[in-house]
Amino acid sequence: MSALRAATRSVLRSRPTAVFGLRGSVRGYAEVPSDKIRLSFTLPHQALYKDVDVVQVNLPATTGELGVLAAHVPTVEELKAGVVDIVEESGATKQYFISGGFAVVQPGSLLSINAVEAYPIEDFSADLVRSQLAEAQKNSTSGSEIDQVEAKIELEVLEALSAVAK
Amino acid sequence: MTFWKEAGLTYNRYAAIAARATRRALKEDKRILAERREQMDIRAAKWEDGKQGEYKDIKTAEASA
Repeated sequence: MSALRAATRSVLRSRPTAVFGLRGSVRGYAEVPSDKIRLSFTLPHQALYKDVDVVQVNLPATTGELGVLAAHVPTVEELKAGVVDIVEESGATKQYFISGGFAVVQPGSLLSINAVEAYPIEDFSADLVRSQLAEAQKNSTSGSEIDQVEAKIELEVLEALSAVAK
Repeated sequence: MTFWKEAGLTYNRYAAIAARATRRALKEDKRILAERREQMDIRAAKWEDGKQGEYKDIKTAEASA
């Protein structure tokens, strides 16, 4: 009887223990650690970060540059075209250029960034930015009113991009 | 009030134009994948006397309407 019990016990022990996947982000905290923010950075077609604990996020808000750290006051900010810096737990900084969107800080250090388009800065071509910029500048002074307004919007985006694209 | 709002554009339109500008500035391979997101094919058919007309793509359908 005790042999059977010992046998089952050894079978259970020899079963490979579950690997608690530490692949980048550890999920499952009930609360965010006191020195981190839980970031969700999503696009309509893709989630770049989903509930990832990071150290700091810098945002290009329409009201100015905004740095979000742990325990930031809850706020809703409209974002303009610009660079989002994310300082991850490992200390590495990732930068994404966004076309625009919104950032929401909720109580408990939860940050949600929603953007329409976001790409790492390396994915942009400085030559294309320059040629688009010239085109948009030309269009912003000629053509119908709507065309001029559209060109002005493109100018804002491209000027922000030309400051960072290499 | 922002300049685009004064001109009559909605936020959605503004966001779409800004997104289009960023997509066009991407490097070759990423740009091709991104520009697929802009493509929209809409077809319309005109109804007359309870009968559905021929399907045409939206531009020609609007032009002939």
